Amino acid sequence: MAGKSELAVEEIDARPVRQRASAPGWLGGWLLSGWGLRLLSVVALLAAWQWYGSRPEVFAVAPFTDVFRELLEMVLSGRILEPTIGTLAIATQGFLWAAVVGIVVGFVTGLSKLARTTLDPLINALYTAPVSMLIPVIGIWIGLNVRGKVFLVFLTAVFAVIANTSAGVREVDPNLVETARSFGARRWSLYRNVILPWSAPFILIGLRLAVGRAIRGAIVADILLITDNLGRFLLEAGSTFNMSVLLAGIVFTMLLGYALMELAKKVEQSLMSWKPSQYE
Amino acid sequence: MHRTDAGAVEISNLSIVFSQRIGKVQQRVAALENINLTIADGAFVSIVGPSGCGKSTLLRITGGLVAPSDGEVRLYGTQVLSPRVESAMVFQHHNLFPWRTTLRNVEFGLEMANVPSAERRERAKHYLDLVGLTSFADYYPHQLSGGMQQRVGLARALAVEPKILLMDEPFGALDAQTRFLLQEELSRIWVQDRKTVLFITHDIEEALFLADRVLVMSSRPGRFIEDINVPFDRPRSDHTRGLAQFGEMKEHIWQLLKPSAAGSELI
Amino acid sequence: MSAPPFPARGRIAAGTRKTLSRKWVQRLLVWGAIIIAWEIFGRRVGPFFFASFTQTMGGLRELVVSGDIWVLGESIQQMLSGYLLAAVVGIPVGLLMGASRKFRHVLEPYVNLMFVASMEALLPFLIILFGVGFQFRTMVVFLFSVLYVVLNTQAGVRNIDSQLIETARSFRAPAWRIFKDVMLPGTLPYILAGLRLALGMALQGMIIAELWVQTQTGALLFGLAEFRALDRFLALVLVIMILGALATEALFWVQRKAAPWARDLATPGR
Repeated sequence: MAGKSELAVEEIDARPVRQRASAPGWLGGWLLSGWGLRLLSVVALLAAWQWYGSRPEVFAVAPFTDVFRELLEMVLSGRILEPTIGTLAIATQGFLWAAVVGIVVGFVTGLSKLARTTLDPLINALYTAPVSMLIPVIGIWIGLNVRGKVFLVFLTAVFAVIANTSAGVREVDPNLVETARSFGARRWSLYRNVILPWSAPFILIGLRLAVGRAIRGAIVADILLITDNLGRFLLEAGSTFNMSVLLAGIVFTMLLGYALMELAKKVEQSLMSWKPSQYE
Repeated sequence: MHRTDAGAVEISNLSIVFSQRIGKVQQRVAALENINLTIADGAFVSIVGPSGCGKSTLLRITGGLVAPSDGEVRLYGTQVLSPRVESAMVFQHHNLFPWRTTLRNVEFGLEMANVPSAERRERAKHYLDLVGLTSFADYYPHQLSGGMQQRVGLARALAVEPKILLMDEPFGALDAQTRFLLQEELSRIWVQDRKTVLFITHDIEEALFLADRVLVMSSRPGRFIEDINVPFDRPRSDHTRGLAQFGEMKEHIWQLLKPSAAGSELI
Repeated sequence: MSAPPFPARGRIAAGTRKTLSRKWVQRLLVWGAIIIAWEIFGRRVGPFFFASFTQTMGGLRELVVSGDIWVLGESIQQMLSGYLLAAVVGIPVGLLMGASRKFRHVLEPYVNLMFVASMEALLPFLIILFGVGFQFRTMVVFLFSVLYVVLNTQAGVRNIDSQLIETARSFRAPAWRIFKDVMLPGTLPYILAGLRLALGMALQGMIIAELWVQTQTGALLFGLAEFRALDRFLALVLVIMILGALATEALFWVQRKAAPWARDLATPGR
């Protein structure tokens, strides 16, 4: 089907050549387009940061070069490794619980009409509720320990899985169900051959969102529940006003979250290569 | 600049070249090559051709939405550089604004022309009535059937009272019955005030049924390969479709188009 | 633009009244069962660990009588200032990012990075920059919610059918009318969806910021837990949850009323 794009020229590309030819020379064009502009903006931002951070009267912001050196040092020396593993361990445990519980509950609420009408409003309310308000009682209920943190992460992440799984299950194309039925699929084979594959992309979206929420939840737990791991790293730097370490730690933590989300996205895409991406 | 002896539409030496990416290679594709066409005032002209031959592009150049690579288009003697008051378009995918009700969609062109609101409403109602949708004035487009949506699109174009109607496969996405109905309705409306119409289609029968003159277009590059006069009396009806001559002309055009059509299927 | 009558929908509504009432009967039954289970569970584990439904309702009365509940009102007022700031900044930025390729190319990496990165890591830095007062809490709420507004607005602009813009052009619409009559109405449902998602995040930011500096609602939550006044604690949690759900539902309603043509939207995030 390579020719399909060749067929309908007018639909693919309706910009006539004449308009394009007015673009500046290729270097100028590159600098003003896409990556060139991005690069320029990053350079400008870092330059502004450097200039602002280097002013003697500014103490809250360390210059970029100091922060970068600190970042390199903490990564290369392995000083950041242990706190990172600690935070990630909490995030992972909470995420796994959320995944298992979320998929099961999502299937139940998606398949049963009664559960859908009665539990949906509650799940939606819990989805938007700020679960961190439970932090003061988690110590009473679970304990001020790793289990308490895992519980907080679980609560932060689970509703994303439930809501997306049940949305996927209920949006199964009725035509497909009918087709499968006409070929004799009943109960279990219907679940396995139609409902599960159909809802898989939705479940994966839920799981990807849960990855992000789990990391955020773990950091909140490490800052607010009991100071430990990356949370302690940041708070110690902050309380001693060691700004270059604090900023390096923040940059590291944010990049860590970004990297994990990108990873989750890649995993999701590779698992779902049969389906064209339809979100974002 | 303005010449009185000019036709309603005058297309001279028009070419358009697209740069297109096939795989990793940028190619220059001549979509339209050296097109010349004069349409008399009040004529109903159809252009029929295989998909991808550039007929829609030709219409969009005439409507002032796309600039040609070479050559020019004049409407009543004035060169088209941007959309002109003389023309209004009806699109293949109705292109109604989903947030406007039927009536407000019909008013759109009049709003852009700064027609005062009372007059605007009156005119929109009149044209909505003409296409038989008065009782649907307050519906949103998504509540209408495909045929109704195209009627609204037609009413929206008619409401600005253009001298030239540019229609881009307006019935292409409809089912056969609805298409027949709308063809007859367009024919009826056209007989009333005889606007100049340029009608693009890939449906040979539709072209013959509606037009006084059918231009057959080839693809790669897009060129006119035949200019046919359609002799049937108006008003036309199912009777027209049944005429032996109608069938012969249909067959003749099909033979002309067959090579390009087969070619584009094979690519 | 007054809301036009909606004939098709009006007709449906009459027909579905019966199923609607059945839905509420089902809800009352199941929710009643949940409340009874909660009551039994609460009495079993005792007030030192949990509070039963009736105890929680008693706690709610105490919160109202003592006036402690009004702290929540102050918190919400402050939250709204951060949330409004997010709307005022987020909508134009999202519009620009959607409409201009250059603008999008420049801002996209930062917005995406901030959107998925853990904003919570910024807390220790924000506190040094802004102190523990109003500014700090407003900034946290702003940072938590603004990207949802930006990304949804941007998605709205980019999802506008380019054919509609071409149609407007064919009717000789000038640029500002294309903006006002095509871009804005086409983006509106997405903006409202963004504001709805952002509200949940703003509430989250409010709670985290107040727990962190232990003021207002945050301080109240900590205090009640410390004195094991779990009846009042759960009542407060319940009130926050219900307020959040009601506000979200209200924005949903606004979205449906203001944009009845847009039924299903793919909104980024959550």
